[in-house]
Amino acid sequence: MYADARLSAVMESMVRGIDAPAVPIAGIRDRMTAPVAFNSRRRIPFARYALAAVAAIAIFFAVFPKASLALFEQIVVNSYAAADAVARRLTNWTPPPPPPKSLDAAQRSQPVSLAAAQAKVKFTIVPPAGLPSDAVFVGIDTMPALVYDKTKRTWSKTAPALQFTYRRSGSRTFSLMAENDDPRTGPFGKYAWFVDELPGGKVGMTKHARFIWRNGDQMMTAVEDDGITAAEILAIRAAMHGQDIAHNARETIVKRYRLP
Amino acid sequence: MALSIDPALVAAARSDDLSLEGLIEAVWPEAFRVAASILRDRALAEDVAQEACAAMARSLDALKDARTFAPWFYRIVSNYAISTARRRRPTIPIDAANQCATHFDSSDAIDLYDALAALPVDQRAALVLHYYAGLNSFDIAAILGVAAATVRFRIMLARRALAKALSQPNANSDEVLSHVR
Repeated sequence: MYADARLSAVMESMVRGIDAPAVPIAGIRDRMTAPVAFNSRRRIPFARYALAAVAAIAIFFAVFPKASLALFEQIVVNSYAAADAVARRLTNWTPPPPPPKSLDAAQRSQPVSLAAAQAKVKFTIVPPAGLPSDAVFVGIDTMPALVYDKTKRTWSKTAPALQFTYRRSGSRTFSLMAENDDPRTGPFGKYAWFVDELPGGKVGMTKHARFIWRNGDQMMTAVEDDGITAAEILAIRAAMHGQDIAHNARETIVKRYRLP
Repeated sequence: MALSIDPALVAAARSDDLSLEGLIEAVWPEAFRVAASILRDRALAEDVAQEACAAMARSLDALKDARTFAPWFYRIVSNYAISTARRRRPTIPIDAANQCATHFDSSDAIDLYDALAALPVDQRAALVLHYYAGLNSFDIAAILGVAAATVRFRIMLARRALAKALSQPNANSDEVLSHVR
């Protein structure tokens, strides 16, 4: 075994035994004035720290899954709120004032017959077809909409949308919404997010696919959920010979505020 | 420490071109030998030594204490050598002329030179810097960008591998660790 002192001596003998060439002073001077190449080793500590941080986060998630998800959710929500606030400040966005009391009645939904509904709307109603076999028609409700004019700073009543509601087996329900197809509106969200309150004051969000199609000047919207599947919605659209409106096919030109 | 440079020369090299040239001539053999020990390739070692000398000359003003020149310079050389070794793909030398010209004065040195070839570059560098340059594990840790304990562990592994390569199976790693501080 090489003892420490012996190893030092042999190492020195070995290194000193290597013949060094003459000093290439001109080459060194050239390199002194050449641009300095990026030393990739400098990045290694940062990569190492990043890796350690990712590992620590992964361990935290594995050990405290519930707390981690709550923390992540809080970070996302806070980040979104902060980004939204910045965007509003940059665009000088101000929320519209609440609608006047005089329009309260206009905000209420009303059950109507098909004939009465046709009288209230500006588009030609194409009733849903191709419904699931267990669907039972419940009724049509008007869905009032108010429009805020930013230049005039006034609220006004506009033609309502219509909600077709159906009941199904297993106490399930679903609805289809029909409204005037305004080519100035869009884009439409590909998904609808349902917010559920969970135990412990937490909020859960579930994603649901949204389908929009056009029949003449009527635009119909349906969202898949427990009451109706995406396949059943597509069957309705097909039976109505509806023309699909892609979620990103249009850009918003006018802003509509739909009230519940 | 193997490299012994007069601090006055270092101080003078900061402002005087001739002194800088003298400093380069003084450190050049050391730069080449250390690079060659780590890289085991003459052409690469020359390239690394030139680059290290140029880097030393460029950043000499950043050296606060001229008395710490030697570890500082070893750091530059070994950094360049290790990064070059890591970039280089492992190859089997086919040109004997490309091997380092040597005139070892003992068979032990020849054996050690051959045995070092089997070590990973980090272990080889740690061995050279510790046993030849005389740097402690903390200095080497700063060069390699790892913890001092890691350096000691690598030296232990390197010594164990050397012992095996040199057909000395009685390696005592505890003894090694006690020596590397």
